[in-house]
Amino acid sequence: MSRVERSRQEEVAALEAFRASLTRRDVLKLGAAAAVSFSVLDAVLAACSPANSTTTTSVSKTPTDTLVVAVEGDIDTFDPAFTVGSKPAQTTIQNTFDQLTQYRHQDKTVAGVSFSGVDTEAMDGMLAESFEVKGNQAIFTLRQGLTYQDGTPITAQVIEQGYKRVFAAQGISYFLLSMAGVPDGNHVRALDDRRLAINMDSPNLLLMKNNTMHNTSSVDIKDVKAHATASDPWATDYFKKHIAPGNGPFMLDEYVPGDRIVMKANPNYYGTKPKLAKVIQKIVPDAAERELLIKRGEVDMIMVPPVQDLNTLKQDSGLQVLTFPNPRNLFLEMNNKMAPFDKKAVRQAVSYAVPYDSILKDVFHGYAQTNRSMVGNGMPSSDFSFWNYNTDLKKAADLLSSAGLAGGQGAPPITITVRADWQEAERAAVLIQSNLKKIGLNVSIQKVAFAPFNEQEQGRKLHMWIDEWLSWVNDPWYHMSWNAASDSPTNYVSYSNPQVDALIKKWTLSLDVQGRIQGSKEAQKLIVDDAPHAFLVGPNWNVVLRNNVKGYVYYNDELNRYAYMYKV
Amino acid sequence: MGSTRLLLYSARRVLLIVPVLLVALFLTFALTRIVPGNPVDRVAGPYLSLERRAELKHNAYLDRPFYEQFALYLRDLSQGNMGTSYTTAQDVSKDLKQRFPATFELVTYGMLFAVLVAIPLGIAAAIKKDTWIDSVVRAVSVLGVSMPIFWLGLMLLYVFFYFLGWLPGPVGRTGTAVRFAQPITGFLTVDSLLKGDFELFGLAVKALVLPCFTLGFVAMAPVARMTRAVMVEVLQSDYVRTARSLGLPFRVVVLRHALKNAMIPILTIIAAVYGYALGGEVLVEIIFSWPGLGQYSYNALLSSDFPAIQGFVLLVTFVYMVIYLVLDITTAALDPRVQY
Repeated sequence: MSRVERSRQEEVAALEAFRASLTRRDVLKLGAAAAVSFSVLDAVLAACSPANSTTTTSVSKTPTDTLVVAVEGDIDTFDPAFTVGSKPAQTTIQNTFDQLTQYRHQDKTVAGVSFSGVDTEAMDGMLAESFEVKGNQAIFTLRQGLTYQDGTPITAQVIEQGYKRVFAAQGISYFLLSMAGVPDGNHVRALDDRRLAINMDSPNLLLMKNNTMHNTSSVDIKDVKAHATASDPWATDYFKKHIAPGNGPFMLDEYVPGDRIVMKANPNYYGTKPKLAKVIQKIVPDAAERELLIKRGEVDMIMVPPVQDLNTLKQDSGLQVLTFPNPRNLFLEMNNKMAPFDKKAVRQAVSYAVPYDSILKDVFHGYAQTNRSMVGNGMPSSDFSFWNYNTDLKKAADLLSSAGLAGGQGAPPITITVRADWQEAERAAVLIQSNLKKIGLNVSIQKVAFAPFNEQEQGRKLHMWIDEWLSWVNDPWYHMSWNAASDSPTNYVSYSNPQVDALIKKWTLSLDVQGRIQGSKEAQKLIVDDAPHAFLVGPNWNVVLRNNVKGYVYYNDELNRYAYMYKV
Repeated sequence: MGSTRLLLYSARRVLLIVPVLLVALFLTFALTRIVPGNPVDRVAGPYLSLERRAELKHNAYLDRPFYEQFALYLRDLSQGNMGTSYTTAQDVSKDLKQRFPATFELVTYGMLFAVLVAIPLGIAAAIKKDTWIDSVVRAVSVLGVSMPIFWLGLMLLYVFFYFLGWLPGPVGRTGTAVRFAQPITGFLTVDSLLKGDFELFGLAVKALVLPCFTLGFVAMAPVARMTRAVMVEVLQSDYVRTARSLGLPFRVVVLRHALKNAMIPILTIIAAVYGYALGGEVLVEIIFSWPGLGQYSYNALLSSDFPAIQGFVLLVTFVYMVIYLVLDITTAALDPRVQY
């Protein structure tokens, strides 16, 4: 779970922000000229040297056993318990550490697109050879002969200590596990060398899902003890910069800050050996440069390229563009505690005023899905039938009048805040601004850098803004616990509906599968009616690969699993 | 007598560095604290409660008035502690040390290129004033001054990497395949030669060509213009006419007599441009994925990583001050007219 895009953007720190702030004058003059010039240049150069024009669809230049990935930014920390803001860090940890269990692979179809993904309702063992959930206890039996990459045996006692560290140091998984009825380290216990028990305060379906996250990876207690200090008994400082010996298919080979994170296959891996000998994650902060690199075949893979370039990339015969519809919500957030959005009718008016189709077509160029509920595409129980906000400016104006703000008279000045490095959000904001003006609401757009955006959002100080959320755990109650519960730390719009709260309380930890689905629909109906956000669209996850790269599997946390990938 | 005075002057100038650094630091401090944004929220992640967040801010002194934070920072600094970066999780001094060589190598070669091209161009334009040579030099200078650095970088990459494929793309100092060895000087071009690794040397040089040219082209323009302007003036002066009328070879007149007198303003503009290059370099590093200080400071700014921003400002101000110091002392030593 995470504001995925944000973590991407934060490290990407895309050049656009810089261009906009430091060299606005130049950008204004040359921004438009750039696009024209590139294509003119292309045409001129192609005309001059026809032989060279073929090099634009060049072949991959990287060795077959090595995957070169251009990533957006550096790591935040190598500590599995704490990484939260950097996808390259999370990806590195996911590939160097295995968890007890993982989701089962499944070919699936979401919103009409078929791809290789996972069944988030079914588990397979990973470090655990088998597992059993009985009442309020989950028992995992470890495979025989497991070791860390340095040869240290992995016993249930070692894993127990790993979990205890997560709780004691209050790592990310502390929040995920306590949400699933496992509030402290005493609930995790080794029964013998190979069997580990996790006890829940009340039996629930969420634990097994929350427990697959990379943040639960167990660091060897021997390494923790070796680097602990009096003030830092869990060695959290040390592991920020040093990756612990792992137990996954890959191991860290080289890390050059600001430049690259290199992994090689772990020769002591217990599972199927990865086909790739090496994965080089090269840090390339500028999105346009990442595109040039993959077009030239200097790298094999890039993630989240600017959406408006995807159709052009698709034309390149050397590349494959993969797009994955998923439950991600793009929200137009309204602060439910600030006027005029403290009135439900105003929020509904805004929901009617949003130009959904334009955002889908003109901002996302088809690489997004309609999304008409808090529970998005591909998440169990997602139901769009409660939606009634098809763009209708007349209805929007009427609702505004009913709230005593006819024609916008009496409404306070409104600001939509967008992150300066997020082009799609800014474009959507411009379209929304124009429609809100038509019903009499004057809105200004404010662009701010990541850190101030983050501070104001978490401090509940923003008025109206655009953000998105993708739940790592593909469960409606997990999703709503973070986004719709009035006491959630991530309920930034301060939405509060006692009925929704009661439903979340009732169903999040329930074992009743059908009841959870029915309850979710009930909650979705209430939330759509309350309109705490306008549900703009569901943006896809996009990956570009060279043609000879195969085996990409989409996981809901959107981290690359290099062990399944290979080149031909 | 003269040398004692010069020494005193130099000492005074060195002492002046301290208050300037303090002022630069104070301004950085004030600005970063006034603008919204703080480093803790990012590190804490989204799930921490507001109370726990406040506690983290308290532990990092971020809830204190900024002058108090400033005093605490100065106390740490006086003990050689620049603080820990929130984005890289290690000592800022270590971060700067790790990244400085990459930036210094890039800026040095870029400036070398700029100076070695700009001065001959400026001289040629002055000698051939109002001919086509002059026009070309002026056109190139105008282009260099008016072209945004990121634009030039992108265009060069597009042509020489993407289209022609002659030079490596934006993949940092050596491309993806090479392992960084333990640095000796930190200059890859020097280290590779010291170790006799000519392949690495080749890679390092190739990777340097485009970013250095980008930086150098923009830095070159003001130097060429200044050289031209000063040389035009000097070449019309009485002593040059006298020297020529005495039958000295034109080459000797230009290089030994005219250029020497023109050097002081040219050196001044080089120092100023060097400072500009240290700033413009941030964009070059981002375009070329260069793992140096520019990228570091850019990321630090975006994530409000206060200790990292302060460390960067401190280092760059210091380097800039040293450049000016060397310039001023050189000028004072060379030019008897300078009062000190």
